Formats: sequence, structure tokens, C-alpha cells
Amino acid sequence: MNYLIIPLVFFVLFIFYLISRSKRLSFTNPLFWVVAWWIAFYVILKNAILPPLPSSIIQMFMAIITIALFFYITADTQRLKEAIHPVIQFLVNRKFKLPLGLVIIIIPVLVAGKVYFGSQVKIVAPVFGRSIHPAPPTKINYQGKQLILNELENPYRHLETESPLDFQKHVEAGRKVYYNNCVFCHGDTLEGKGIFAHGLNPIPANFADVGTIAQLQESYVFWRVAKGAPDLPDESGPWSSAMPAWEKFLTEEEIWDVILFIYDFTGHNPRARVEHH
Amino acid sequence: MQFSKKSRSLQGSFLLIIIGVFTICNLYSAEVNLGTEVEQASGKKLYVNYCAHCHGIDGDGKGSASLYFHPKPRDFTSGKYKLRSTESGELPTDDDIKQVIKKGMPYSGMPAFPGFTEEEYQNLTYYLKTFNEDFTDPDFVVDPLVFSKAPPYSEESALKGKELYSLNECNGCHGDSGRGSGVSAPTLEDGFGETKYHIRPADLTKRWTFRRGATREDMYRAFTTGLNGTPMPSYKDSITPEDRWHLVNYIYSLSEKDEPNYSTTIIAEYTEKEIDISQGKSLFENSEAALFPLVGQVIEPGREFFPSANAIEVRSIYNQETIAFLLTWNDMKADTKGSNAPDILVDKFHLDNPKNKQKTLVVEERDKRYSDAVALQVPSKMTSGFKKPYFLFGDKKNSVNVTFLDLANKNEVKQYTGYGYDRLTSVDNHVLAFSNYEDGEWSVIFKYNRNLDGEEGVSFIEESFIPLSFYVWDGFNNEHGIASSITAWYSLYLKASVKKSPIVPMLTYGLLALLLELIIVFLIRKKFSAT
Ligand code: HEC
Ligand code: HEC
Ligand code: HEC
Repeated sequence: MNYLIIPLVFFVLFIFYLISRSKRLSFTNPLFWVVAWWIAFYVILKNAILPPLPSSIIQMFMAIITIALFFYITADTQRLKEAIHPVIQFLVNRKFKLPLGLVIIIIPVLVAGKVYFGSQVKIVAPVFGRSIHPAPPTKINYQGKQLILNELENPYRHLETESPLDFQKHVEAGRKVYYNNCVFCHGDTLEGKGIFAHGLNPIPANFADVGTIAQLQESYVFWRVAKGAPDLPDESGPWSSAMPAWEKFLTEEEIWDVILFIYDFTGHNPRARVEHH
Repeated sequence: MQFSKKSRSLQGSFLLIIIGVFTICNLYSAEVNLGTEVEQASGKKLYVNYCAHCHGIDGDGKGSASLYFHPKPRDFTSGKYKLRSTESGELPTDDDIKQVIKKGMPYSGMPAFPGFTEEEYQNLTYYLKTFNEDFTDPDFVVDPLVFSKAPPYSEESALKGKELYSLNECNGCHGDSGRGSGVSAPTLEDGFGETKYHIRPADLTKRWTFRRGATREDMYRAFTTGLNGTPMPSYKDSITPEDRWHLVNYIYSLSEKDEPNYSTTIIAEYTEKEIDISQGKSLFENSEAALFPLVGQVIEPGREFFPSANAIEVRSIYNQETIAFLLTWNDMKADTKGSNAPDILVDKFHLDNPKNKQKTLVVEERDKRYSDAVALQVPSKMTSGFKKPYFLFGDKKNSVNVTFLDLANKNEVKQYTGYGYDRLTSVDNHVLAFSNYEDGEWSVIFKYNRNLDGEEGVSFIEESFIPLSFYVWDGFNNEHGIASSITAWYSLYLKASVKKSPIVPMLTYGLLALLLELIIVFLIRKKFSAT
């Protein structure tokens, strides 16, 4: 439904174009077109895309578009002249005295208004932009054992092709681990909507989303599950993540089983290991 | 006797009417509908993947995860369902069951599964019905009651409802203010299986926690049909529909919205006056309340899977030297016997003790060992940027300061420095406390020195954000040590004591803009006025 806005916007521009061609209206100079395109892009970015883009992304795109349009105008002196001509006329020509006076008054009033409303905003603490997948350590100490993450593999993954029945047993064991331990936060359908999720910040990871375990190697997931929040670097805000360090509760086998389960349930595959030669 | 033509046609139309009534009855009367074997089998497949770990592979409510939920996952062999559109004691309709699966039961372990297809909901329902034989008996399969839409809400009606509320003794279970703290609340039990579990009357001041849902229609159904398997009765025969809607409107008026209005920042208001905490709650009338969700501590060993409290409300005021916090939360009962502390070892009966995993919960034994308690936590000192100590009792490098009040020993405020949940040490403190339990609500006030001369500890400086978080222990639920309910880090902000007028910056920026405009116009005119 929203995508219909794109052809609609272009249609409106096209109508303007037709009018300007047939009537040779004076207002349809390059400046008019630049402003029209600018508005058109804004309308499209703001309304046509679902889910809505964050305002920071829209601002970034609009900055790029502004620069592009600026270059379009200044690249050609004739076009530049044509574009700024009406502006200069407005500022210089006596016949615009009244509107110019109005504009000169309105702008400072708007600025003052903005300052006023800026001072009235609700007080909310600044938000910490955490890094979701920081670089993992090269090795971890797991219950007295040194594990080198680069070499770490899920010892049961090979059963998937070699012995599907045994593999299924591990998945089922992992299911039990999951529903006895992880479900409160990561939820029944693994979408991060557990009964305690609303009280945590950051919210628990959504494993069904393509942005979490689908992007990770199993060794990385092992590190996250075994070591939890406390082992995160500062850029990921370890002080507020509720992700427990499961080495305190689970055996190594249980951790590998639950990892098999979360991939199996969501239908994602772990990212393949990069081979070093 | 001769029938006239007219009477014969009358007779005919009678027959027609009777046949008509019959067919209509038949259309509406429920039939036993158990689905085909294929449908049941595909329901079973979904059940095994999505439900069995809680509700048990045999539908008896004894899945491996059932230990960790309270209320317990439903035992489908009991045939008792809370949420129905049928009369008290009867079986639910297929639609009732489908609705539960789709919408879940808020604030219980029963999750919502909004993503299935219509066919999948139906197949699951067919499968659930195989667990109890009554579903196969036409005598037990009944018509749903017919419910009308809610009449418009009005204050008058809510006031009438308030009278009806005590007249019908709802307060005996739900408490005078509806916080779930009636006199019989601690003794209520559910009746789904052989083991009886304690059941809490709903907290009527938080309609988002209702099992069926927060709309007025949902509530009307709750007290029309009753909740089978619970002490919540049906009022279909004892209260008229009109009065039931008055009751609905009263309960509706007890919470502000359908959703909780959770906050992230406490705004402390400045006061000139001396802060005398013995005045209690009234001190905080002018400060805005911030509501924070409380959840179970399921991060460190000694986990609390079903905490009692689900939210804590906080207000704050400060003056030149001191700052005070009012913490309020709803509690079914004041537990002021026994004792409590954040550093007592989680006891050997507790669910999370590895040796005790399979035992029944002591929660059900309710020895009066532990009292209610509350704690407020701030970092021991402010760190730079976003960095903070770990939100659960700090970490090895950055410590927290936990102010703790055991409500069995109200005169002694304790303070701990925490370098982790297992490294809490008691320290001296100058915090004053006041506490009161009334009508299902605890209110506790802590008063701190603002610590502005930069001694040890965090300073409560104006116009800065200070991290803080909370813990609540419910003695009745056996919460103790780190088996408690917790919040994430939130912020405190001390609103400037002198209100700054926005006039000066408004004038400055407005005049600046004007000056800039005039310069541009002047320069351009100078350059182009010839043309
Ligand atoms: C107390 C709540 C809680 C519990 C219980 C919990 N988690 Fe988490 N988990 C989180 C939170 C919050 C995050 C997101 C923040 C982070 O990355 O640390 C997370 C993140 C993760 C991640 C990282 C995903 C990614 O894309 O980076 C994995 C993997 C994970 N959890 C697995 C598990 C497993 C497996 C269990 C059960 C054995 C579990 N969690 C139990 C709260 C929890
Ligand atoms: C994480 C555990 C959990 C899972 C998974 C779960 N349930 Fe439940 N379910 C519960 C709990 C707990 C209750 C009881 C809630 C209460 O009594 O307030 C419940 C209650 C129910 C009820 C009873 C409603 C009533 O009116 O009494 C039905 C029906 C139900 N579940 C169906 C299902 C189905 C179907 C699935 C799978 C698609 C499922 N549940 C998955 C925990 C779970
Ligand atoms: C004998 C005790 C008792 C009495 C009397 C009682 N209730 Fe309840 N009520 C309960 C219990 C227990 C529950 C919680 C059931 C549950 O959690 O499944 C409950 C739940 C509720 C709910 C929430 C329903 C839902 O969807 O979760 C409402 C609304 C309610 N009661 C209103 C009333 C009103 C109004 C009255 C008086 C007309 C009343 N109750 C009388 C015990 C009682």
C-alpha cells in the first residue's frame, strides 16, 4: 500500500512538468525544480518505506540528496543564475517590500519558538548505542580449560549428516535445556519475548531474526552462552545486559545441545567458519 | 369437528414454526466435533514442538519446564479451563481454546502464539480435546453464552460499581482497593489437580495482568463465567447484567490504561522545606511517579522464577542537603515475621538448588522464615560516560551501593557495597527510612544525604542523570537472598532547583537570526541594487 506513494509522487511531478511546459509559467525555474525534487524524496523516504526508517537514516539520505542537488545547480553557471535570480529579485526589488518584511519578522519568531519548545521537552536519559556483535576474544577459559575460539567447533554438528537420529537426540536435549533456562527471556518461539523481557534493557536477542545467530559462527555463540554479559567489551555495555554466564549452570555438552536446538528450531544455519591456510 | 379452511392454514403455519424453531435450535446447539484423525495428528505435531515441554507430552501439565512457572501449565486431563464463554463448571468451546492459544494469558507462563494459521489453531484444539473424555460426550458439549457489547463508560456507573464491589464481597479476596490483598487472599488454592497450589486474586489496579485481557468485555466475561479451577466465582446468577457492567466500569476505573505506563527516568522535584519523612506519602504529592517493571532474578544461581511483585513505583524530592525516595509496590500481605537480607544464602529448599531440582517447591510450604524487603541501588561512585557497575549487585571492578530495608526490622537501614552478588559487604550508613503497609500497598521512604562535598559515594547533583535500580523481596513467596525481583538500570534526574526562564535564550537566538537576515539583505542589495 505504502509503495504506491512512489508512483504518486512522480505523477504529481510529471503534472507540474506538463503545466510548466504548456503555460511557460515563470515560477517553474531550476530553483523550483530543485525544491520540488527535494520535497519529493523526503515524502518518499518518510512514507513509502515499511518499516519506517529511523529519522537519523532519513537525515543522512536527505543530506546526500541536498548535496547532489546543490551540485546540480552550481555545476552550470547559467542554471545557477536562473536559480538565484528570483531570490535576488525578492530581496532587492521594491515591489516585494511587504512580503520581505514579513519574512524578516517571521524567521526570528520561528527560531525563538523552536528554542522555547526545545526547553519544554520531556527529560529522558541519553540512550547508549551498544555494539551487538563485538569482536570475540581469541581464547576463553572454560572451567579451567583453554578454548581457542577459532578452532572451536560444535562436537555434535557432524552428526547432522552422519547420524541424524543421534543428532535429533542432542536437539531434544537442547530443547529441554532451552525451556528450563532460556525461555524466560528469549521466549517460547525464540523471538525474544519471554515473560521477563519487558523488564530488561537491552532486550533479549531474537533468534528468529536474521540479525542474530544466523550471522554468527557456533564458536561465537558458545562464547556468548558460556560467558554471558560479563565477558562483553565496554562497547557492548556489559553492565546492563541480563544474559547470564551459563558456565555456572550448564555442562559443556548442554551448551552445545542448546545451540543445536536454537538453530534447529529457527531453521537458521550457523555461519561457516573461515578456513585459514 | 370440521376444520375451516382458515384454521387449517393456521395449523399449517404452526407446524412450520415448530419445524423452524427446531432447525434453528439444531443450527445453534453445539455438536461433538473432535476432528479427523489426520487433523488430530497434525495438532499433535504442533503440540509436541510448541507445548509439550510445559503442558507435558501426556497433557497432564507436567512438562519439564512446568517446575518454573506459577500458576502451573494447565493439566488438560482435568477438563477445567479458566477462560470460557460457557457457564461455570462447563467445558470451553473450540473458539475459547483457540483464543487462548492466539492471545496467551498475560503475566502467566502461557505465551501468545499469534502466528499459526486458522487451521493450525483448530488442529491444536482438536488435539487438546483428546486429553479429556468429557469432550466426546454430547451431554457436556454446550452452547456458549451470548455476550453483548459494553455499554458506554461513565463515572456514575463506576461509582455504583464501587458499592457493588463491597456489597458482593469482592474485597474479601481482591482487597478494599482492589490490590489483591483481601483477608482470604493468602488462603486461596487452585483446583486443577491433586496438588493444590496457592493462587493470588488478580490485582485489579493493573488490568494488563488479567488472564483474559484488559478490555471491559473481557472483564465482564470473567465474572459472568467465573474462572474454572480457581476460587474466582461466576456471578451470572447472583448479579444482574446491568450491575455486572457497573462493576466492570469500577474495575476499569482502577487502572489508567490498558498497558502499563512504564517509565525510564525518575524526576526529583526541588523543595525549600525540610524533608520530614515521618509525614509519609503526602510529602511526595507534587512529584511525578515513575513506574518500573520488576522481573525475576534468573541470572545468577539462586534464581527466582515467579516473583510476586511485578512493578514498583518511585517518586523523589530533594532540598539543599538531602534527597528522599518514595518506593511503593503492591503486596498481597505484609510479611513482617522472620528476616531477610540480600546476602543470605539461597536456602537448601529453594528450587534452584541443584540438589533440589526435582523436589516440590517450598513456596508451597510457606514457612514464615522470610520477611518482605526492598532495596535501592546506585553506583558506589559515578563513572564516566555510560559505564556503570553490573546491574545485579555490581562487578569485580565497579561496585554498587545497596540500601536495604528488612520490613520486619523497620528501624534498621542496612547498606551494602556490592562487587557482585556473592561479594556483598555491610557498611555504615546514615540513611533514614520510613515504612508503612496499608490496604495491599507497601510504601517505603529512604532519605539520603546528597553528599555534595564529594566524599565517598555518589553525589546527587542537580541536572545530571544518576543510574539507579531496585530489588523487592516477598516473604510469602519465600524470596530471600538473591532470589528476588529486580529492575534494570534506570535514571534519576534532579530537576533544577531554580527554574530557568526560557526568555533569555529565546531573545538571544531570535535577535541573532534577525541580525543575520538584515546583514544578508543589506549585502545583497548593495551588490545587486543596480540591476
Ligand atoms: C535473564 C534473561 C536471559 C536469559 C535467561 C537468557 N538470555 Fe540470552 N540474552 C539475554 C539478553 C538481554 C541478550 C542481549 C544482550 C546481549 O547480547 O548480551 C541475550 C543474548 C543472547 C545471545 C547473543 C545473540 C547475538 O546475536 O549476539 C545468545 C546466543 C543467547 N542470548 C543465548 C541464550 C541461551 C542459549 C540461553 C539459555 C541457556 C539464554 N540466552 C538465556 C538475556 C537472557
Ligand atoms: C512456557 C510454558 C507454556 C507453553 C510453551 C505453553 N503453555 Fe499453555 N499454559 C501455560 C501456563 C502456565 C498456563 C496456565 C496459566 C494460568 O492458569 O493462568 C497455560 C494455560 C493454557 C491453557 C488453558 C487456558 C484456560 O482457559 O485455562 C491452554 C488451552 C493452553 N495453555 C494451551 C497451550 C497450547 C496449545 C500451547 C502450545 C501451542 C501452549 N499452551 C504452550 C504455559 C505454557
Ligand atoms: C473467593 C475469592 C474471590 C472473590 C470473592 C472474587 N474473586 Fe475475582 N478473582 C479471584 C482469583 C483467585 C482470581 C485470579 C484467577 C487467576 O489468576 O486465574 C480472580 C480474578 C479476577 C479478575 C481477573 C480475571 C482475569 O481475566 O484474569 C477480575 C476482573 C475479578 N477477579 C473481579 C472480581 C469481582 C468484580 C468480584 C466480585 C464481584 C470478584 N472478583 C470476586 C478470587 C475472587
